[in-house]
Amino acid sequence: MRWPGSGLRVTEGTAAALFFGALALLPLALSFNPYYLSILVAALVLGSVAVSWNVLAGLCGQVSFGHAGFFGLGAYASAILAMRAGWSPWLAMAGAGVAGVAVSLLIGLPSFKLRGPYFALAILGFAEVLKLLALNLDSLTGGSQGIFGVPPPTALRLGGLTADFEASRTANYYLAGLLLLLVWGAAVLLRRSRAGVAMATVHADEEAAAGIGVPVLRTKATALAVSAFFTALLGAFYAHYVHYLDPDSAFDGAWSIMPIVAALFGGMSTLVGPAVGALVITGLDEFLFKRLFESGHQLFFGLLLAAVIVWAPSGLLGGRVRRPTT
Amino acid sequence: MRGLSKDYGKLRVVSSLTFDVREGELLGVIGPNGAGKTTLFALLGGTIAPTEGEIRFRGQAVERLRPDHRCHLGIARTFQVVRPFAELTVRENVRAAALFGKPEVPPPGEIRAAVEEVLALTGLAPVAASPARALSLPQRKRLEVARALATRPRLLLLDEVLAGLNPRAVEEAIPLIRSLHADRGITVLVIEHNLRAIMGLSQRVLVLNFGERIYDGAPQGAVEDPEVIRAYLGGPARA
Repeated sequence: MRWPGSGLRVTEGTAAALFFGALALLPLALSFNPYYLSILVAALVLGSVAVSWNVLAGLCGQVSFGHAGFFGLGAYASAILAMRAGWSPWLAMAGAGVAGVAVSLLIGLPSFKLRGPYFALAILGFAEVLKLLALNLDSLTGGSQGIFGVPPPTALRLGGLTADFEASRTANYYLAGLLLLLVWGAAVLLRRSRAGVAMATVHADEEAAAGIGVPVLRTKATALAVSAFFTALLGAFYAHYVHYLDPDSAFDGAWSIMPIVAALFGGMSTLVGPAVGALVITGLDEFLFKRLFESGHQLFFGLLLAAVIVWAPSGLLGGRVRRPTT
Repeated sequence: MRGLSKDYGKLRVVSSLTFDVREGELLGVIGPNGAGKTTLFALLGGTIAPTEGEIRFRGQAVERLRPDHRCHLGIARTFQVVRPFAELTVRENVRAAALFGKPEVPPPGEIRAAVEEVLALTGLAPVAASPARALSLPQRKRLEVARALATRPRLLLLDEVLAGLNPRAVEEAIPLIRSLHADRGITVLVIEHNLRAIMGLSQRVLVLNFGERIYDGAPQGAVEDPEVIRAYLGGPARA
């Protein structure tokens, strides 16, 4: 299938500028309609997780089926730090990211040492283990009851402007957008760095990478740690945004699967592609699939994924966003 | 190396192999298919661990070191079945090797200069901006050499870099290998099927058969050695 204008090719920076520019203006176009904004916030959170997931998969070639584990971990860690330890929600969110890094190394280092798909298998079980911990560590997590009243991030004042995250959807929308920009920016810097070169070689051929002196294990662990940091950070934002957590929603398998769908759909060889993919699939889901089939609309994602893999294996943006070369 | 062996299951692919390579030597390794030549390189490069025996490199036991650490010490290899980083450009392939070949990171200017020098030396400068997947087989073989060179090796293991090349390309490649050895003082081990090339190239040849050393000495002597002739041409089975 040829997309209209498929000869057009842009750089990552141009694609991202167009995308983030559109995101900045979108609320105006929607006249700040809270219903649309709440859908968009969910899409942006998914987009950030998809970009984070793709740091591991797209840059380093390591596929994770368990990012829900980092997402839920971040959500719980931040809620607990803010409510039990009395941290400011902002600091708690950063702390959640650090918790994500610590746990990612715990799972990553042993499983990356083995050759073969051990990481993919280990992380699949790992997300489930964390969910069970959240269910059973009642005194810390409230068990299956969950945690109510997670505080919103404290309001920010900049000159005459106040961003009130308790009452304003718009404030939350722009915060989610900034988080996405932060994750994307970090991914761009990482890809340009020496560690990013190592990831590209490991992605291409581990054995040949080791042969030219690339520390393969450390490279994979770095990619996982960065990916886990941002996924946990987004889980934390989610907790402070919805104010309520329970194991089923925080560790929902959708947080493992939908980022993969978004990244494949948007294009794994690009950094902004997974974010674009997240917005498009969220839009399709809300305004098309759910209207056609109220229950079982998730089925469409399977069909969508199959269609992408068959007709556009490099994704929506894969063939059009040039990889920067040195 | 001393008494080096490698078993794949019950099959002993390299058997109690002992030999020395002197610094600055250009040593040819030949032998029929399945003689264990590539396995020997994998053992030296660290892709596989020996079942028994030891490998010493400049006085240090290296047989349990990871491949990246061996590369940092100065051992670099090419792969018989070429393994370029397909989606990266030729220049990026070489640059990655220059960035990671040694534990200390050289300043950017030095990296750039080293990369361009290796590209020019291996004749890859005209295709430096192409993705590696777009290269022809002879170019991919050159890229293997370029990448290994960019790690600044002391010992270079060339695994059939001439195989599959037409006679003209072979004629071009031989002076390159010779100059690496002569001008840069790199110790070179060459695995080759092309006997004519290897005889003209090496100062000494090691002949393997069924994982054992059957000849070690001057190239001219190898073609006259009865055991080597038997290994290549068949004949009465060895005891």
